[in-house]
Amino acid sequence: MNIKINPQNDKHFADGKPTLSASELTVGYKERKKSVNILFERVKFSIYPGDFVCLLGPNGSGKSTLLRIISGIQKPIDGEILIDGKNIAAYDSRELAKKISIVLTEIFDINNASVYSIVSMGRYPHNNWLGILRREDFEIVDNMLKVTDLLQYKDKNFFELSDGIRQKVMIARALAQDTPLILLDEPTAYLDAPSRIEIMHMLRHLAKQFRKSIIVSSHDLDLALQAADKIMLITKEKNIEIDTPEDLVLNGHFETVFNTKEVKFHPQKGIFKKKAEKKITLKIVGSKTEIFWTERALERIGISIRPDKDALGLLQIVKQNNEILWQLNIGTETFTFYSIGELLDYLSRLNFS
Amino acid sequence: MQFSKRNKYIIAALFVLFLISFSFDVLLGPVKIPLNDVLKIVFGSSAPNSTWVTIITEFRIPKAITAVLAGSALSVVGLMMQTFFRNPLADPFVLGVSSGASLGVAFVVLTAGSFGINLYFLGDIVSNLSITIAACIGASIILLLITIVAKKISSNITLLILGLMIGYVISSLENFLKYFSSPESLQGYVIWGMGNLGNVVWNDLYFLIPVVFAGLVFSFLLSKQLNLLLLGEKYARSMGVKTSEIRTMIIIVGGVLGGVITAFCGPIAFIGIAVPHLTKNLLNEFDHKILIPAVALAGGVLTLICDIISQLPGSGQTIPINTVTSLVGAPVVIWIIVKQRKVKHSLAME
Repeated sequence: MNIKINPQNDKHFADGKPTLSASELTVGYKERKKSVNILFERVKFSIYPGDFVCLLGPNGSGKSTLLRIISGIQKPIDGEILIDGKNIAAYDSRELAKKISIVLTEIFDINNASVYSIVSMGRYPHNNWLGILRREDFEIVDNMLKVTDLLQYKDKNFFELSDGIRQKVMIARALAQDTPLILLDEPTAYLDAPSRIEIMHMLRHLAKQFRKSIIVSSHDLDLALQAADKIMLITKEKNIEIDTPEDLVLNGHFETVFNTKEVKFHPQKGIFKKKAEKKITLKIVGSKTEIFWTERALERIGISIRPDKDALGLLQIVKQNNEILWQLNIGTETFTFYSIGELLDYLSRLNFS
Repeated sequence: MQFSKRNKYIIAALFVLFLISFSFDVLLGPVKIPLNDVLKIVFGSSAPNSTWVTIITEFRIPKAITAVLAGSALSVVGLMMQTFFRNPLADPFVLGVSSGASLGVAFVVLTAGSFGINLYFLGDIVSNLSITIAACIGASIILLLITIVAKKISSNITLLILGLMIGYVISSLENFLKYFSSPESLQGYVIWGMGNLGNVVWNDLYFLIPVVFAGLVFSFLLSKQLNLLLLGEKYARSMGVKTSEIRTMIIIVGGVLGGVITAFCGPIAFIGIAVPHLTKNLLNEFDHKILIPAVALAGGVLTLICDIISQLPGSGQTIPINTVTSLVGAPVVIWIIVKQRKVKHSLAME
C-alpha cells in the first residue's frame, strides 16, 4: 500500500480542532523613534490538544513576546489568534482565565501560604466571588497535587520549599485552573538539572494525560530536543516553524538558527559544542564509557580523536585490578597515567607546533 | 473559610482583649470615676454626678468608638496597600496618603479664613463635610500618584523614601498655606494636626460609623482578588483579576477610609503598617478573607491600647495619640527592614 502524506496539509491526525491557532500574525514593538521592529511577519500555526510544544529561539528572537501575544496580554500588529475557535480579543478576562493558564520564570515569595492553598487558587476563576472551594474544587486540587507528585507537601509552607518544588506547585495550580492551553515562560530557568528534566518530562506526560496543549519556552535546547513532541522554532527569517524536533534537526533548521561563529550544533550527537581548534589527533582504544569521558576531556583542550592511522599517537585505556590506566604511545615512547587529570596535565604541557 | 483550631483561639482571644481594652478606655481618663459609677452610667441607672455622665457618654464612649474605627480602617487600608504594592512597608501614613489628606484639610481650613469665610459660622455639618471631602480627595490623589510611580520602582526601601519625599513636599505646601492664613484658622489647623480621637462627637459618629463599615465591607469583597495579587500582577491577571479595576477600587477605598479618618482624628502614624504585620505573624495566614476581619479587630485593639496609654493612667495628663502609635509602630518598621535584609543576604549572598 502506498500512503502519501502531503506535508502542506494542515490536518492534524489525532484531534480535529486546534486549541490555539494563529493566522497572518504580525508581531512587533515600537522603538523609540516610531519605527516598528517586526519580530514575526504573517506567521501561521496551530497547536492541538495533547501537544507538548517547546518554543525555542535565540535570545531576543521574541519568545516572551510571542507568549505575551498568545496569552492576550499584548496585542499583535496584525492577524488574529483563536483560542478554542474564538478570537482572543473577544474574551473577557474571567472567561480567558478559563482558557489559558500561565507559569512564569520568576519564583516569588508568599508567606504563610500552604501548597494546598496556592494550588486551590487555580480554582478562583471557576468559583464564587469569595473564592470558597466547592466539593468539585477540592477533588480537582487533590487530583492535581497527586499527578504532580506533591501530596506529601500539601500542608507545607510554600515559602520554605525548594525552587524546583515551588515551580511544580505553580504548575499544579495551572492544572487546577483547568484550561485547555497552558503557557510556561522558561519555567525551569532557575532550577538545577534534575528538576529541569523532571519538570519537562512531567509536562509532556500531563499534556497527554489531560489532553492539554502545553507550550513551554526554553533556553535548554538539549532538553527540548529530548522531551518535546514538537518544537516551535523562531527562525532567522522572522518565521515560526513547528515540527518534530528530529525533523528540524535533519532539515537543517536547527543549525541555521543556533549556530554561531564559536558554537556549532552537532547533528550526529544532538548537542552544541564549542568549535574545536584542532591541534593534534589521537587514536583511542578501550571500553565505551571510558572512551566517552576521555574524549570529552581531550576535546576540551583541543585534541580530537580519529580512528585512522594518521593520528599522532595511540591512547590505550586499560583496566587492571579495579584500576584504570591510560597508556599513551607517541612515537617509540610510552607514558602511563592513573587519571584523566594526569593525562590532561601532560598533554597540555606538550608543545604542538 | 478555613480557620485552623489555633487561629480560632487567637481570634477569640483578640475579641476578649478587644472588650477588655474598650472597657478600660472608657474607665480610665484624666478624671477619676469609680468603676461602680461608670457601670451605673453605662447601663443607664441613676447617675451620681452629672459631669461624670457627660464625660462618659459624650466624651469617653465616642472616643473609644472612634479609636476602634480609626484603628480598623487604617489597618485594613495598610493591609490592602501592602498586598497591592507587594511591599511590606506600605501603609497610609508611611506612603504619604495621610499627608495628602492633611493637605486637603489644610486647604479647606486655611484658605476658608482668607476668603473671609468662618468655618464655625457655616456650622459643623458643612465644615465637617467639606473638610472630609477635601481629605478624601487629597488622600486619593496621593494614592494615585504612588500607584503610578510604584510601577517603576522595584525596591521596597525606594518606595518608602518616595513616601517620605511626598511628606516633605506636602508639609512645605502646608507651610505655604499657613503663611497666608489668618491666625484663627491657623490655630484650628495646628490643634487638628496633633491628632486627637477625642474631637469626635456623636453627630460625627453617625457619619463615621457607616462610612468606615462600608469601607471595610467593600475591602472584604476584594479579598479573593487580593489573594491572587499575592502571586504578583501577572499571575493575578492570568487568573482573571482585572488589575486596573482593582487598582481603582483600592485607590477609592483607601482614599475614603484614610481621608475620613485623617479628617476626623488628624494623622495617626504607623497603625496601618504595624497591625497587618503583627496579625499576619500571629495567625500565620495569607488569606484576606480571614486577614481583613482579623486585622480590623486587631487594629481596633491596638488603637484602644494606644489610647489608654496616651491617657497616662493615674497622672491626670494626656499625650497625643500620635506619639504613642509612633512608639509602637516605628519599631515594627525597623523589625521588618531588618528581617527583609536577612532574607536577602541569605539568598543572594551579597
